[in-house]
Amino acid sequence: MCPWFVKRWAAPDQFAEFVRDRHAALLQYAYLLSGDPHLAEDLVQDALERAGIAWRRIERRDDPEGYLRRIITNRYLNRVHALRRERLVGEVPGTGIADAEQSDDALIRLLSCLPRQQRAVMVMRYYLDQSEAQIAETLGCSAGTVKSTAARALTRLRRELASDFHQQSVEKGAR
Amino acid sequence: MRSDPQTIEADLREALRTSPSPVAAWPDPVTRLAAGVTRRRRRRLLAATASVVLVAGAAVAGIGLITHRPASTTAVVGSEPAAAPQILRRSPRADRQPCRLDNVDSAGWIVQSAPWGLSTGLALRPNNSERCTLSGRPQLSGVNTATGVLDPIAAADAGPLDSSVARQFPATIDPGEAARVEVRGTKCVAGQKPRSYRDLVLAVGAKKISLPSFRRLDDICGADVSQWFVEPPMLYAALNATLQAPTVLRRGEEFTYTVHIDNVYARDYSLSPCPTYRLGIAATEIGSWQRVNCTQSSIDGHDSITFTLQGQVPPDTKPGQHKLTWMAVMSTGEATIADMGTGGTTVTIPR
Repeated sequence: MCPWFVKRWAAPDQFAEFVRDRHAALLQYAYLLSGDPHLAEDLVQDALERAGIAWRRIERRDDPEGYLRRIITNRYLNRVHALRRERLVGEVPGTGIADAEQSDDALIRLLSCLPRQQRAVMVMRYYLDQSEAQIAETLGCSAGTVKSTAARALTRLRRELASDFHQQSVEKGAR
Repeated sequence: MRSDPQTIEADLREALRTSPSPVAAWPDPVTRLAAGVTRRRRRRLLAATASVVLVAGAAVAGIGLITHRPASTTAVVGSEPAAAPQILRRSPRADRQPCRLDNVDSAGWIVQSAPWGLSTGLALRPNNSERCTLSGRPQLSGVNTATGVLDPIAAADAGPLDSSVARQFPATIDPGEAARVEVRGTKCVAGQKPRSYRDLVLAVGAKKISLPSFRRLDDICGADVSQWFVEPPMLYAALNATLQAPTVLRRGEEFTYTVHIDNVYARDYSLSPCPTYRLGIAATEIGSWQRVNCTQSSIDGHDSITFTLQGQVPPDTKPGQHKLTWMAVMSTGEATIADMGTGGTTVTIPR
């Protein structure tokens, strides 16, 4: 008989049910948080794998989904892009990276101009409807910090939105 | 959307709630996770076993077990050789539709530039707007320098090449990300006649990718070509590390340097067992993996710790400016790299 660490892991029934029911919602949350569908998938996969290991402990909590969201948020905030420690030498035929998928909604699009911490606060505040205290607990900072971060984010969104409207008016006038 | 910016909070709430998700639900999410969880469990067991062996070894040697002390900025000197640690990396991605190679953004030869950097090989960035998968093994051919004829260069070994760098097969890449392949010439054995090749070409189906002209395979008997792969990024600890060392170092010189580590979060960060680290100059590692003889069991939230350590410049280091690099692997398997933004600390090696 194989020892447990050699055997392939079999998901406990409750974990499997949780994953089937809630992974789509977690994907949506991760997408709103990161603005990148591919990164969202990586974040959710990573969080669910971590949760799979510690499921017995997590399911005893009141809110396993909240715990998962917290892992996703922290992994997102702490994410460092793959190191650019490579040096390409030789001929490079061309450059250019395909544009990230753009949301139709101006506000969602404008979220991408916010720093990651501000964006996370916006998503937790207005998508999850979390209080400042709840957000502060997730981010490991004070409620005051959350409040000032949210205020800065809203100010910036207002400014960007106003400039967006101004731009559109100028374009309409030119036509 | 309403045009009055004053309603931004309500608009934002509505936009976030009604935003259509471009991420489709996974067809079989539980199966998708099983391999990753199995892998993580095995890695945990290995890490736990290593910790137990280390602590027991330290106790037997009379060094004493790590005791908890209140965290503060403390200088800790010394280290001891350690086994190469298990580094957490991004989970393998599920396969996607095949990448189209009719339009390639860039193809270039990568040169490793840090001990833990990406391995040397060809990096190819297809122009895809979606995540896609590049699988299989490209066919290598080149112009035989003796005959001037373009010949296939037979793969001597069909298996993936050995490498200390973590690799994930096949290469599932995001837009702008590179898929990699490694090409390595095979040495001849007695009785074989060595050949040399120039103008190397990799063929993937009907698509032919020319390798940079300076890449040649000289005096070989066949070559190994890996499957397409990605090198998944390491997972990083929520720590900031900075290294301070003398700006001028002589070849063969033993020197003392300090590494200052800040815990950027409010939560404690465990140092039990102590971090394992590797020092390097450019892409050359200095010595083997070492474990810091730390006396603290954690770094308190928003606190820091300073390690004072010793290194030696390899006698064969080329004179000039180099980056001194330092990477540590924490007890969780997460990595920390000193001076990540600048790729290391600049030092000058005089003639």
